[in-house]
Amino acid sequence: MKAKQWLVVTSGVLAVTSGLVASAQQAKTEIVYWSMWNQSEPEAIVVQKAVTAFEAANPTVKVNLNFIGRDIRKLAPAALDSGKTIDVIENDSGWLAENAGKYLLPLEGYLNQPAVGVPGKSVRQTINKALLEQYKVEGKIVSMPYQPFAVLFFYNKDHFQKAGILKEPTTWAQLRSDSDKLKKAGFEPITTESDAFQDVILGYYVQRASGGCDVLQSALNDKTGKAWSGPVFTQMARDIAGLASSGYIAKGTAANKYPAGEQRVALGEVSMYLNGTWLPKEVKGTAGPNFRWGSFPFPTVEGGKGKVNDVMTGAQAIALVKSSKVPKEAFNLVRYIVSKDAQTNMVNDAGSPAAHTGVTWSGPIQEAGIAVGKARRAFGWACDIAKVSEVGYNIIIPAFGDLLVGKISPDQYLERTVNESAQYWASRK
Amino acid sequence: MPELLVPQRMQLAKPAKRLLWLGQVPAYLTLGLWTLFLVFMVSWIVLASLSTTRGIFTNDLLGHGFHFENYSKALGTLNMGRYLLNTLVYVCIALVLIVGVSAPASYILSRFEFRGRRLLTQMFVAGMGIPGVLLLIPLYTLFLRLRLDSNPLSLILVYVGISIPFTVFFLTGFFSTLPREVQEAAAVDGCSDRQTFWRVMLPLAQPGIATVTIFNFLGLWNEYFWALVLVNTPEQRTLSLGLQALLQDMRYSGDWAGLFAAVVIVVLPTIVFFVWQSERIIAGVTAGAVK
Amino acid sequence: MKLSRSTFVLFLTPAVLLYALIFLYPSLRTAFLSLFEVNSFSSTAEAQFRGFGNYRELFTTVVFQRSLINIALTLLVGGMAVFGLSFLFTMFLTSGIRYKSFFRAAIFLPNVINLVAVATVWVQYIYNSRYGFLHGFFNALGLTSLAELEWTSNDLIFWAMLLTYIWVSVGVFTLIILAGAERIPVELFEAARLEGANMFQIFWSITLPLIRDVLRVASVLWTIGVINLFTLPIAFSPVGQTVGAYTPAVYLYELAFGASTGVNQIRVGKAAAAGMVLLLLVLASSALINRLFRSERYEY
Repeated sequence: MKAKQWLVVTSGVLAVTSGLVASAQQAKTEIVYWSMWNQSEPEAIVVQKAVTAFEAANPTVKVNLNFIGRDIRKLAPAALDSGKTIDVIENDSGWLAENAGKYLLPLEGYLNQPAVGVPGKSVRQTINKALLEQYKVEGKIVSMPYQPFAVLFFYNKDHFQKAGILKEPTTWAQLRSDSDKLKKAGFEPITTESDAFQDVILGYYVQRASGGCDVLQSALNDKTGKAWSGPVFTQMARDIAGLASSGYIAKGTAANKYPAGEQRVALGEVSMYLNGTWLPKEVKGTAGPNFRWGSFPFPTVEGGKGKVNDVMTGAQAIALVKSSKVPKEAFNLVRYIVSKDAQTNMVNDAGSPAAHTGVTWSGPIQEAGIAVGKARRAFGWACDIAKVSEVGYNIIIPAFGDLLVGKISPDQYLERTVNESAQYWASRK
Repeated sequence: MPELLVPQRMQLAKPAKRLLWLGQVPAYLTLGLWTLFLVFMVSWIVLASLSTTRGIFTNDLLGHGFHFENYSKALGTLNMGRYLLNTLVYVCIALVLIVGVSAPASYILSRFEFRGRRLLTQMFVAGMGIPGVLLLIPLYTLFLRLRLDSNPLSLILVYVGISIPFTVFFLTGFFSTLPREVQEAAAVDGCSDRQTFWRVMLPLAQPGIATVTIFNFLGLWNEYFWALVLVNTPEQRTLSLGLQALLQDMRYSGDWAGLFAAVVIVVLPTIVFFVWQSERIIAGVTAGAVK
Repeated sequence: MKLSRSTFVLFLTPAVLLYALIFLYPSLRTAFLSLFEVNSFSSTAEAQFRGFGNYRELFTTVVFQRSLINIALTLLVGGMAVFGLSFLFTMFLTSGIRYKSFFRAAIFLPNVINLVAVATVWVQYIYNSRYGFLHGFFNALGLTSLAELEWTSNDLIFWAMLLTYIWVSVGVFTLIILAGAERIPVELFEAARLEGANMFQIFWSITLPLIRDVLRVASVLWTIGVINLFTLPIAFSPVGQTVGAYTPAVYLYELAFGASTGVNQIRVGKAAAAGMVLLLLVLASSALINRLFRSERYEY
C-alpha cells in the first residue's frame, strides 16, 4: 500500500510539474518568419541581427526564422493556401501585392506605432512614402519595404572622362552622342544580358514616351494585339533599333548569360548598363576597389511625357499573414527589421539601399540615392509587364531582345509582337 | 577436331594481330580525345575554384595565384555537418525500406504465375516514365493538408515510393536469373514459401540488391525538388538544398570562384564514390539492361 | 512451389499501396485538375470547369508547341547522335584495345558530375563566344566564322543545350549497348575475324542484330528521359527561362509554381493538362517502341 501511495504521489507531482513546465514554455509566443534570403547572404545576416535585437527586447517571444531562399515564391502560396502557419513572409513588394495579396494583412492600423531607433516618430514617418504606397491591395498597404532598389544607368566614370563626356545624358539624343564618343574612345557603350534586364529598357522607354505605364498595361491586355503597333511602340522600335545599327550595343550581348554582361562592365570593357542598385555589389569582386561607379536616370525621349525624375523602383518588403494568430507581436518584429540600426546595417554591411528616410545610401549607390530622393514618381519593374507574363515574357521581351541586338528590324518587331499576342489571346478563348 | 584447329589458329594469330593493331588506331584516337576533353573540363572546374571571379570571366584562371580561401569560405558557410547528417539518415532509411518493399514484390512477380501478373509488372515499370513534376503538385498539396509537410518522414515515404518502379524493374530481372532448383530444394527441405524467400532466395539476390541500392543512393543523394518542398527548415535540410542555397548566395554576391569551390566540395564525394565502385556500378547498368 | 495466399498478399501489398499513393493518386488528381481553370493547388473552390479547354489552349500556345518541337528534335537528332556514338564506342571497346576499363569509366563519368556544375561550365566557359573553349578551338582550326558563333543567344541556345545533353548521356547508353554486345560469344567474333572481317563489318552484321533486345530497352529509356527533360534546361537558364530552350516539363513547372521573374501567373489547371500530355506521350511512345522491337530471340 505504501509503495502504491508513493507511486500516486510521485506521478501526481510529476504531472503538475510537467504541466507547469509546459505552460511556462507555452508562455513564449512563437512567430514563424519565412525569409527570402539564403542563410549566408549579407542581407540574411542583417535580418538575423535585427531578429536578435527584437528577441532581446521581447523575452516572451521567440522567432522561428527560416531562410527559405528565393524559392519562397514557389513555396509560400501553396503553403498559405492550405493553411500552414506562417506569420511573416517577405519578397518583392509587387509580387506580394499581386501573387500573395489575398493572404496579407493590411498594415494601416499598425503604421502609426512608434519607430524603433527614432524617438518621436511613427513607423510610417520613417519609411520612404513612395515605396510604402507603391503597391496596394484594395487601396490598403500590405507590405513594409525595407530593401529598395532603383533602376538606373550605371556607368564607368573613367570611361566618360576618357571620352570627354562632361555631363551625364538627360535626353535620348545626348545618350546617343555620348555613346558615340565612348565608341570613338575604344569602349563598348551599352550591354545587357540575354536572359535578364532587357525588360527594364522596354519598361523605361514606354514610361518616358507615354508618361506612365498604362499604355503598356492596356497593350498587354489587348486581345487583338494591335495596340503593340501603336505610336509609342513604333517610336520605341525605331530608337532601339537605332542603338543597334549605330553599333552602341556591345558585341556578344545576344549571347550574354547572366552575369556575363555585368562582368564585362566590371572589367572595364563596357561603359553603361541599365540595371538595379545591386549591380556594384554583385560585381565588386571583379571591379575592384578602384572602380569609379556613376549612375544617371534613364533619359527622356523625343516628344515623351515622362520626366527624368520618374524612377523605376521597388523594394523587397516584409508582410504579415492575414491568418496569423500573433499579428501584434509580428508587427513588433517588423518594426525591428525597419529600425534605424537594421537599416543602417543594410547599407553598411550588405551594400544595399535602405527604405528608412534617416539612412543615406553610401558608396557606389550614393548618386542613386540622391536621384531616388528627388524622385517625383515611382513605377514598378519594367512597368509591371509581368502582370501578364505569358504575353510579356514569352512574346514581347524575346522579340525586344532580338530588336536590341539588331537581329530584326523595327517593322519585323512590330509585326511579330502584334501577331504573336493576338495568337496567344486566340488560344485562350 | 580441336587439335586441328589449334595449330591453324596460332598460325593466323601473328599476321592478324598486326592488322588488328592498325585497325585500332581510330579507336584509341577517338577514345583518347574524349578522355582528354573530360580531363580538361574537370581541371577547368578545379582551377576555377582556386581562382578569382575576375580570373574566371577573363579566361585568366590562376592569373592571380591560388586562392584556397574559396574553399574555407564555402566550407564555413555551408552548414555541412548538419545537412550531411540529415541526408545520410533520410537516404539510408529510405534505401532499407526500398529493398524491404520491392524485393518481396519482385520475387513474387518474377517467380510465380498468376492472373494479372503481366499487368502488375507493366504498371510498376510504367511508373519509371511518369514525370516527377506531375507528382509534385498533388502530393505536396496532400501533405500540406495532412500537416505532414516539413516532416522528414514524408520525404522518406516519397523517396521510397519514387524508387519502387526502377527497383522492381531491376530486381524482377535479377530474380528471374536465379536457378529454380534451389527454390525447389528448399521446399523439399520443408521450408514454407516465406522461409524460402527469407533464408534462401534473398541471400542469393544480394549482388543485385547491392547494385540497385547503389543506383538508388546515387539518385537520392542529389535529389532536390522533393527535399525543397518537404524538409526546407534549418534543422531538416539536405545537402542538395544547402548547395543550392550556397549557389544562390554566391551568384547574388558575385563570388563565382566560391561557387565552383562549393561545387567541387559537393561533387568530389560522388566522383570518389564512383571511381571506388565503378566496376559494380557498370556491372549493374549492364545487368539491368540485359535480363 | 506452392505460394500461400497470405504470403502473396504480404509480399505484394506494401509495394502496390505505396505505388498507388505516389503514382496513381497524383495521376488521377492531375487528370481531374486538368479539366478546370484553377489558380491554387488545394482549394478548388474558385475553380471553373473548362472541359478540354486547357488542352485546346495548350496546343495552341506557341511556347508549348515550341517545347514539343524541342523534345521531338532532341529525341531524333539527339537520339541519333547518342546511339551513333554509343555504337562507335561499343565497337571500339570490343575490338580488343587495352585500358578498356579506364576508357569505359571515362565515358561514364560525365553522368556522375552534378548537372548544375556541368551546365555552368558549358554556358559560361565552353560556349563563350569571346574567350571560350569552342571559340579558341575553332580559331585554332582557322574556322573563324564558327568561332564567332553566339551559342548562348536565344536562337542557338537549344542546340547548345542539346550538345551538352548528348555529351552527358553518351555514357549510360554506351554502357548498356556494350553490355549487350559483351554477351555475344567471343567465338562468333573470332570466326568472323578469321574470315577477314574488319571491325565495322563485324559490328554491322553480328553485333547489331544480336543486341536487339538491349536496343529496345535503351530506346525506351532514352525516350522517357527526353520527354521528361527538366533539370538541364533549368540549369541552363538559372535566372530566367529562355523561350528557345523550353521543354514541356519546365513549362509545366512554371505554370504551377510561377516563373522566376517578376509577378507571375499561376495556372494549375493548364499545368495539370501539360502533365497529362507528358504522361500520355510516355505511355504511347513506350508502347510504340515495344511494338517496333517485337522480340525475336536468337539462339546462340
